[in-house]
Amino acid sequence: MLHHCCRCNWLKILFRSNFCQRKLSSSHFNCRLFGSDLVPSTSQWIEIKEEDLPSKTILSLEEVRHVENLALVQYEDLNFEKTILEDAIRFADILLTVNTDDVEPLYTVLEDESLYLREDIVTEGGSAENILKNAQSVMEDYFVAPPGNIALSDSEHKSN
Amino acid sequence: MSSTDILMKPLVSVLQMLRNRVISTEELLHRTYTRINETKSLNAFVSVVEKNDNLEFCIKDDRSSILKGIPFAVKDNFSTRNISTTCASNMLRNYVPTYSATVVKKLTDAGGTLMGKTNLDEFAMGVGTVDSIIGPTRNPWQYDFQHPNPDDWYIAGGSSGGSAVAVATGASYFALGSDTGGSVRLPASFCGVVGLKPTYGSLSRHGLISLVNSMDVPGILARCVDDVVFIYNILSGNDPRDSTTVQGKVEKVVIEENPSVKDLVVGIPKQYHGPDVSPEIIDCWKWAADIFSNNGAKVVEVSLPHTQYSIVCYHVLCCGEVASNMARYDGLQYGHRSDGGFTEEMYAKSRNEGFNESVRGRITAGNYFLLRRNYRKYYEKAQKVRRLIQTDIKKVFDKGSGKNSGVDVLLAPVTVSTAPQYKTFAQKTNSYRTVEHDIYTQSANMAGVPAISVPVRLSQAKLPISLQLLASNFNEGTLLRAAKFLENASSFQHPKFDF
Repeated sequence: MLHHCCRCNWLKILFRSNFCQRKLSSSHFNCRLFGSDLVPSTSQWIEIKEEDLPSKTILSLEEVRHVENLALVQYEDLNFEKTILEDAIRFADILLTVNTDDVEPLYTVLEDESLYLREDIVTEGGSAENILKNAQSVMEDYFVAPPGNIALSDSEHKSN
Repeated sequence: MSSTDILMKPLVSVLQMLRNRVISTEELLHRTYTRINETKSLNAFVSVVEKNDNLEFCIKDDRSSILKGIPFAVKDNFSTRNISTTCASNMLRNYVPTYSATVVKKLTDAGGTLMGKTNLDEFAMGVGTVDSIIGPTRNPWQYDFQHPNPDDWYIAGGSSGGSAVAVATGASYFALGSDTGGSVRLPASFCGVVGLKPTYGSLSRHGLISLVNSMDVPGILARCVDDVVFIYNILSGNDPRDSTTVQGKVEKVVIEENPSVKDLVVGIPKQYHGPDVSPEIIDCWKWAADIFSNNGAKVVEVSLPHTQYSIVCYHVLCCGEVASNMARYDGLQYGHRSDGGFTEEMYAKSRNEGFNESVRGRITAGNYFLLRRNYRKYYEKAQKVRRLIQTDIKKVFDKGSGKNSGVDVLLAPVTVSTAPQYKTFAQKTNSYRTVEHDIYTQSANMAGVPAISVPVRLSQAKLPISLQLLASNFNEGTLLRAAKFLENASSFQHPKFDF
C-alpha cells in the first residue's frame, strides 16, 4: 500500500481497492437470466502497488520557483507549493504503469469528423468600446500595461 | 408548497397552461421570484436578474415563442450579455460580457426568461459547489428550511450545483450546466434531477468560459427526461461560432410516452464497480439491470479495462489545458487587476489575488506537465491513455457480434455515494474530492460520448440515488429513450420541500 500525504489523499483511493474476487462471476457464468447477476459484487479495479511506480519525484525549491515563474502564480509558502506539486506528479505517475506501446495520442474526439470554419466574412465590427469595457486601465483606445520586458524573477529582486 | 405546485410541473404542462391562459407569464415569473427568495439560504444563485427587467421583457413578448417566457437559470460560467459572469472567482467578480453564449442566446431567442446565474466551484474546478466566492451551495434534500444549521447540511455536488438546486426546488424549470468530468451528472444525482451531458460537438461551446476545451460540453438539468429532450432539441446543432460543433449528425429527439427497450442491448461495465462504492448504489444498479432484462432488453457484461485510469488521465490533461486556458487572465484586458511595477509582476499579483488555491494548484501542475522535459512523459502519455479509454468505449458500442461489443447503452452508477454532508466533505482537499466523486463520470468526457444521470430511488437517509446511462456518439435518441424507460420504471418522486 502506498503511503499518502495527509493533506492530499489522491493516492489513497486508487490503492485501497480490493483485488477482484471471482467467486461470484464464475458460479453465475452459466445462468445469466437476470441483469443483476452481471453487476459485480466486489471492486473490479486492479491494485497498483508502490513498487509498480517509478521513484517519487522530489523537486528542488529552484524547480518549484521556475514552474511558478512560468505559471505566473505564487504561493506564500514555497514548501507548501512543493508538496502540492510533488503530490500532483505522484498521482500522474500511475499513468506510467499503463502500456501505451503503438498507441497514438488522442488530441480531440472529433478527429474523424469534418469540421468547418465559417466563411471569412466580416459580420461585426466597431467593437472597440465593447472590447475595452472590461479593462481596468485604458487610455484612448489602448489597454495600459506597466513597463514590460522584465521577468518576474528579476522584478522581484528589483522591488525587494 | 401546495401539492399542485405549478413551478414543479413538467414543461409540456406549463406550456399548455400558458397557451390556454390558465396562468400568465407575469404570474409565473412572480411565483418564480418568490421561490428564489424562499430558497435563498441554499445559495444557488450568484446573481439574479432584476425582476423589472424580466417583467418588461415578458410584457413585450408576443407569446408566439416556443418557451413562452418559461424561467430558466444558467451556470455562471456561460457568458451573458450585460449580465455579470463571475465563474465564482475573484478574477471575474466585475466582469460583464458584451455577448451571450450561443446556448443562452438560443434559449432567450426561443422565449425563455433568464432568472439568474447559478453557483459553481471556481472556474468549474470541483465536485461540490463549495469552492466559490459566494460560499457553498446547499442541497435542498434533508435541509431544515425553518431552522437552518450552518454546518449540518448535504452538499449539492458540483461543479454545476447551483443549477441542480435551482431546478430541484422549482426556482427554474431547467438550467444549463457545463460538464467536463461529470459536473452536470454529479450534482444532478445528488439533488435528484436529470442531468444530460450531450455528445462533444453537438452543443455549441461558444461563450462557455473554457476549462478543458477538449472535454467541455454544455449540459442540461431538468426534473424529467421529457424536459431534457425538449431543451436538447432547442440547443443542439452546428454553430458557425464554434468550429467543433459537428454538421449533419445531430437529430431531433422524439421519445414515446412508454418506450420499449426490447430491441436494446444494455451493457454492464464491470469496472464501474470500483473501490468504496456504497452498497446502496450497487443495489440500485442491480435493480435497474433486472428492470431492463425483465422488460426484454438483452443485458450483457462488458469490460472497459482502462476505466480506473481515467481519473489520472483527466488529472494530467485537465491541469495542462487549465494552465493554457488560464493564461488569458492577466489583468490587462478584463478581470481582476492588481498594482505591480512591471508587467509580469502585475500579472502574477493579479492572478494570486484572483484565483483560489485549487485553481492555482492546477495551473502550476499543468505548467510542470507541459515542461519540455515532461511533455512526453506525462502529457502525451495521458493523451495515449485517453485513446485507450476511448477505444474501450468505442469497441463496446461497435455493431459487431463479438463478445464485448454491440451494446446500445451502458448502465452504471454516477458516483460512489449519495450526497455527502458538508462537514465531512469540507475536511478533504478539492483534488481528493474530484478523485473520489468523478471516477465514473469522466470516461464519457474522455470519449466524447453522451451520458445522462437519472434519479431512481431514495437511500435510507432519504437522499436521491441516481444511475448513469451512456450511449455512442450522437446517439442521444437511444440514450434518452433508455433514460425515459428507467425514469418510468423508477419510484422516484420530486419532494415537497418545506420552504
